[in-house]
Amino acid sequence: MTVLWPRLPAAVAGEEFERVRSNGPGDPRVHHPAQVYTPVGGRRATDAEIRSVITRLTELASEHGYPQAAPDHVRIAFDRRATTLLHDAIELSWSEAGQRDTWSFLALVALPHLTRWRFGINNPERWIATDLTRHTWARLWWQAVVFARDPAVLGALTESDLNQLLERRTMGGDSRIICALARSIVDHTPDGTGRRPLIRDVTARLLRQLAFIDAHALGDTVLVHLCRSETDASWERLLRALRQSDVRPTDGDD
Amino acid sequence: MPAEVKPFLVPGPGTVTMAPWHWVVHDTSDPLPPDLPDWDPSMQLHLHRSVTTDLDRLGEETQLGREVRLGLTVSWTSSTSAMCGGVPTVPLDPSGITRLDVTLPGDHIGGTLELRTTLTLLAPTMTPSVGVARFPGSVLVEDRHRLVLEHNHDRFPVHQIDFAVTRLDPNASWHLETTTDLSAPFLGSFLLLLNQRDTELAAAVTRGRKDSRQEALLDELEHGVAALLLELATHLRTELAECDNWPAGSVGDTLARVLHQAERSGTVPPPTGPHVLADSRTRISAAVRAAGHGRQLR
Repeated sequence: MTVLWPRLPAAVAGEEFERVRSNGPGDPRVHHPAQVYTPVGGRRATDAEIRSVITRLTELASEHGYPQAAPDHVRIAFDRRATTLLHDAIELSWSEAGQRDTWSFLALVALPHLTRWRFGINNPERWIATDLTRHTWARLWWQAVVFARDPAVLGALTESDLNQLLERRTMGGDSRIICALARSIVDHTPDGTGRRPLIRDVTARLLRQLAFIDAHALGDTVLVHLCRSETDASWERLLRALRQSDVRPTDGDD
Repeated sequence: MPAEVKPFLVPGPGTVTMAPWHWVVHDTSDPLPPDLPDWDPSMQLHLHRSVTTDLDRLGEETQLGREVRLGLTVSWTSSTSAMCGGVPTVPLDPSGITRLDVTLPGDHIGGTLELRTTLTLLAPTMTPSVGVARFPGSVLVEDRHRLVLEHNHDRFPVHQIDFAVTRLDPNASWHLETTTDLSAPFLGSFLLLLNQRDTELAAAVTRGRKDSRQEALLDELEHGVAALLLELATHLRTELAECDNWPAGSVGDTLARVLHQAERSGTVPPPTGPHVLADSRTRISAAVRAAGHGRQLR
């Protein structure tokens, strides 16, 4: 049966966020007086389930230095492990996981202490879900979905890489394409050098192909081949351009 | 997709005919309605349709001949998550009639579903020629069908809360959460909040028989919400016009339809200043009523 997690409407979330800004995050809670639930069928998440998510993520954060401030690479390492944990612990239908207010509840009510530890309190979109690819917890849950067929490649991608790959709706919603493309990109740029311009170029090339090719009609092998050949072509083009401009390969406008 | 000109020959009208979708529920097959009001994520959707192909004409019109391998693929995109998925491709039946049976996972779909059926090349052509499809996956024919699983406009999510615990004025009766991100899913970003302190309105929206005052309250609410949506759409007219085909179930898709429906009887300008405010409100009010929202003239 579908599990429905509490939702915190944006109007309430705005109020809660201001409270966090003024008074600090406070203790994690399993309930908010103004929480609501989506009107479709399913059973509501129990307090024990919400408490379990709080406990498991807090333990994981503790392994990464919480409550002490942690450097970027440590918090990113936390993200990568939290991705699987979060997806396993929060059982949502994809439709439910597309609801912004579910994620606002998690950041502001259940996990305010970890949300502040991970991203601080300056950026409201890490707390109040407007863009699911930017929200502290929504982005991790969806990354687990998109990279389920190749979790290892997720570990090789930066936050910036992920934003570039997932922001294009035509491709970002197709986990087969994203995994095949990401694998090919990482293979070309193992240390990350030149990755940003490569992603920009190859996603544009692939989008042109997808205007007349149905990726769902392609078997896995053919799809991987398509992504590899387009990445090869992009890489060659970028190297050629660099040779002509006699500039050392860098990460472009990173 | 704008500028739908493919770099290869495609069959003419009538060469490939896709029959309407049917859905199977309780072992009975019925034509698929435009919406499924009782759908919930625990339901698997079992659909089927047949595709009739004149194979000789197809071979001639595409210059692919009769020997090339072709198949039919069904895929879906869900508006609430922007995620998509596909079911395994079915090779074209040599008889010319191919039946497609698909099962869509309920926990992966929601909002408005776009079902896409494509006829594609399954293998590269051995002797490629100019203007003839050659790559696997090349789409020769496609059909798109929209299926509403969760309503957007008429019945978007409604919740009751005490406005006193929010940033909203506790004297207000309702508030519509909105966004100007036109690519965002409508169902995930628009939410009608009713103030619990307005006990009369709260009672009116609960199911069951209504008295005339409660009906009037609901009419007023429906009119107000519809007017706000239309006003928002008029303010975003330029942005809405930048795309011919907003993703199904997106904010852009919903607001474009709101604007289109309202402007069947003339343009609805947004209020650009106090000198036109009254005229603009009158026009919006009339357009909302003409679209069937709120109290109707008798």
